[in-house]
Amino acid sequence: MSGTDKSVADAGETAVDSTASAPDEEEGLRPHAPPQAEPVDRSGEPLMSAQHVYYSVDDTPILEDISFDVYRGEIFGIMGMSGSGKTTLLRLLIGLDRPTSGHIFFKGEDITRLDEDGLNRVRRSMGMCFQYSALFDSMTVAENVAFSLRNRTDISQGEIDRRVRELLDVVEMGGTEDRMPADLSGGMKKRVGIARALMEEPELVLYDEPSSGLDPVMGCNITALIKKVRADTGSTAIVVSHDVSNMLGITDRMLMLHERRVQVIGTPQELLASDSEIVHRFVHAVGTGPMTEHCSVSPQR
Amino acid sequence: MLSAIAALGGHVLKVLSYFGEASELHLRTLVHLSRGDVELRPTIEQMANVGVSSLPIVAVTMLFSGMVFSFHVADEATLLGAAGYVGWAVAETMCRELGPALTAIVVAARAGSAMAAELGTMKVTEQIDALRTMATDPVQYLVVPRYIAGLTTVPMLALLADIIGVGGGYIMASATAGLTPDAYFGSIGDNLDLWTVAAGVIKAVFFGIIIAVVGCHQGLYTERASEEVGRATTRAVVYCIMLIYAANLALTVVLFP
Repeated sequence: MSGTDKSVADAGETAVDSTASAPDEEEGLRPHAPPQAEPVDRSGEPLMSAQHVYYSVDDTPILEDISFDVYRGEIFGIMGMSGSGKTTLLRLLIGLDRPTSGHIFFKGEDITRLDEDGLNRVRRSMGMCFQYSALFDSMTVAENVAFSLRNRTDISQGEIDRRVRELLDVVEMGGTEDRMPADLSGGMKKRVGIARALMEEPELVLYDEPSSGLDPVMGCNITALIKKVRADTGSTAIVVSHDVSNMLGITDRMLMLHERRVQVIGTPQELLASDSEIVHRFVHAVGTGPMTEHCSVSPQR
Repeated sequence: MLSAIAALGGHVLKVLSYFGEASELHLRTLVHLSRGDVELRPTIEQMANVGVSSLPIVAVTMLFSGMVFSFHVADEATLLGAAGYVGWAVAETMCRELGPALTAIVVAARAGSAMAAELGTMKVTEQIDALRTMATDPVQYLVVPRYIAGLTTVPMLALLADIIGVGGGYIMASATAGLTPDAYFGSIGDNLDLWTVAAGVIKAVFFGIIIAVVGCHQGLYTERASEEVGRATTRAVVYCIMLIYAANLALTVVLFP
């Protein structure tokens, strides 16, 4: 058992039986096809590990005692209700914010102790897709995708152009090189954002709400793209979302945040089989119960 | 009473905090400059934005300022029998004060506000965070080009402003007091010290730095809300004008002892 598992157990999370079976068909939520053919090896050192991470803003706790491991080749989901701290956690993982206490390890190196230059070195092994894409609005699609290589490497312009075309083809955005972000739809921006994040062939890609704001079909396309990227590049992914159905379809394991803490970590099957009322309500979108203090709708009495 | 003191203390802390943040930003910019971390393309773009694009409004402002000033001076000087000094009086005033100060205020309103709005929008839309995730320092990529643009183009604009102001002064002096070109420009050649021109340019260098640092600071420190971009833009202009006038006083005392 890793330190992660222990901390979760200490926090009183619902125990999840890894051999638990998937729920019945009539519940309507089942994991899709396995995200990858090869099983993830969880015996070695995790690629990324959070250990007892706390984060506060102006003495207001945002995250408390967050611990988990992410292994190479894994698609790891972080889900929870709106405002539960999912995006904040993602920002901590890539060093955009620093935890109040605790440690975050990437390839065994504690990134919470690094200065900005050290973080920049680590970030070259990561890519991040933002919730609203965060494309540079003064640059074309091609310039956005090429940004990191053009700015920080001596690779020839011809090679960069070739790689841009290749990546835009991967995300099915070929032919849009000269368009401006303002001319793209939300789904297209997400795709360009994914291409930009993949430009330096990162070992770890972080996705912040990849399907939010998109119609269900486009949301599914984006999640399928995440699976395709992992299959094509072998990269590890951490996906933050509250879109349960898409998360169940693409992740190997998931973490659920609730009231600033890790509520549960497990495979999609384990979460679906969980006897925790909080997990059950979130996964099955039940509108009443112990989570209603966060809901805008009054609980039924 | 205690609450009033607490409120005053809070304001003092805010001011100190502001100067601390702005000084740190300036220092980080200078560190990048000392390392030669300069992106050529964005720097040239910013020089065009700050310098070339500001030229028309600076020209109009200085033309009319020179004309108005000359109108007053020529009238009084003629009454006092000192019409031969009108050109020198206009040039001295333009080079010492009006050229650098009015240019800086116009550039602050036009380019300083644009810096705050542009960087503020980038902050709100997570483009600044995106830069950081791609291992790019926003200070190096965004602030250094604007700093160089402010540092180089505001003095050039100030020098052009001096010339345009003096030219505007001549138009009015010849129209109202009937001064000839020889009388007007001759008095400038006879009396204007080169140091006066140089000191005005030196002032403008500092004003350019103030505009770039204040504009970029307001943008980078914008809070994550759309309405904050507007507030940051307004603050950038207000703070620039206040700091330009304060710096003008200090520089005048130092440069013209």
